[in-house]
Amino acid sequence: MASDCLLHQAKSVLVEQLLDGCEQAMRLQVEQIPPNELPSRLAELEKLGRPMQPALVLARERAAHLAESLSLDIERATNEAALLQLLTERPVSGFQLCTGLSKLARQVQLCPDPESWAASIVSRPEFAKILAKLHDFLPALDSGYLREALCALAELSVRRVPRMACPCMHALTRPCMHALTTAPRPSGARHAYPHGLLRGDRVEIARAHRLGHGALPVGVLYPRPRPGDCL
Amino acid sequence: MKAPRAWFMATADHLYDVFLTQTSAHEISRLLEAHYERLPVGVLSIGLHTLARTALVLPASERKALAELPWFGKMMMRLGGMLSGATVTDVKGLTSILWALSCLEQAESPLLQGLVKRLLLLAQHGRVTSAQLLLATQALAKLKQLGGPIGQAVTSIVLPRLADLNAAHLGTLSRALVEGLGVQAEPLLRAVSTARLEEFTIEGSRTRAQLEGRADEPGYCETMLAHGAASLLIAFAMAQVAPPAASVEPLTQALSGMEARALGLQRAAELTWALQTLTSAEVSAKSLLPLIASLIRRSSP
Repeated sequence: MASDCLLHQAKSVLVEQLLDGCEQAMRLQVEQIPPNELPSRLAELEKLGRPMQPALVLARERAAHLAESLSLDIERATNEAALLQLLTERPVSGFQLCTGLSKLARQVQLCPDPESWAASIVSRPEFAKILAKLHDFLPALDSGYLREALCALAELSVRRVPRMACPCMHALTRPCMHALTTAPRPSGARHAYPHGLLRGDRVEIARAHRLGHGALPVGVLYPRPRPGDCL
Repeated sequence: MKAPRAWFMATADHLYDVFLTQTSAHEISRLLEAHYERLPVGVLSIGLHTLARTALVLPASERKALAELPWFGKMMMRLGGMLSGATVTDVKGLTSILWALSCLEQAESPLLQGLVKRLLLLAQHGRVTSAQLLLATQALAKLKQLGGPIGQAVTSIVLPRLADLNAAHLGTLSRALVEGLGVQAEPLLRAVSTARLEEFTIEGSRTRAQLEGRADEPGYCETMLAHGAASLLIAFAMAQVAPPAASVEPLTQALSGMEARALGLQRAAELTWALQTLTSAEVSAKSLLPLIASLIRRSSP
């Protein structure tokens, strides 16, 4: 009986050490994944199926931690340069990108000469990268974030950017508008406007249009009214 | 007539040397494209093998694209046609093609089904060595071809030949077949963990290392045992099958040589998952690993 217990204890230590060692190995290697590669590594692990579950838990933990600290960094960024760097170099999610753009636009508006400062910012190559990222995120963004991004772009007068600096601008505004006009609405919404727009959307988009001095294609912005539309 | 032949033989010899030393998949691909129509079977097999080996470092998309070049299919058909006999060289060549197809992720290759049929036929007639059979099984697992009749056929061929394999081979084989057959691989798992359990002990691994002429290699037995036991436990977990009670102690002891902290992310995750799965209520209900179950329960906070 005593020897049985000893045997059990010895094995318990062995398995415990093994699981402990495995966890350390996984933690160490998950920590070593560069933040920019984490999303693709997560996708790879997911593809490998159930046996990757323990590693996935740790990788998702780290991804959540990184996302949280990135959101904090965006929130705490004190100047435009820092924001641009965060949005360009870090693996931002769609909503973080929209929030960051919004903050960038707000910060620019606080400057003594917002128009020329905005022009200087949007002409930077980093900004073109941000627009490209936004373009990639478009299909997954909900209308709220789309509106936020669109207004931020308008406030930054993105239309003034030379064509080469933001080749995706045209491609960006159309899907934004399409998403806004086709997004599902709450069933109880009483003030639906043509193509599913709500009053708030229309106001925001008009504001975006005004601020952007015509950055958005007018035909998309002001669809032809239909009988029964109550604008 | 003789001059071109001599020139060609010199080229073939030269290419043979190049294939053995070349490290760029694109360079090998260029050479094969230029010469495959005239190379003898041996050199062509080496070329294909080198192409597959060097392509392993490329991104999956690039690797696939390489194998989808028009000349590649023609070369494979030519090679397949040249290996129509049943000699040892032919079997090696066929295994080599299969391995190359798996490295290049060519599950859709029109050559594959015929190749597998021929290899299985040769294996059923005892023409394929156990080592080649193991390599072919791994390749088939990578190509996801082991589900259904092919997996069943491989199982029936390997079952009487388990005594040829060491612990690491047995673990790898079990895992490959479980990936394709799932719970249907249970007879193989039972055979490995009962009839071949001796392989997973220190004494058994030493005897095996002597037979393989590797007894003097430092750490060989420990690595072989740890790899074999871990793979076998992962295979049991994947099949959701309880290992026989008598195998629990040798298998856990075999893992003691493993330096878990040095494991790669994938391997560490698999082993953790296997140990956790084998102690889950579902599998424990089948009377599996009662020992490890109690141990892990104790070790959890």
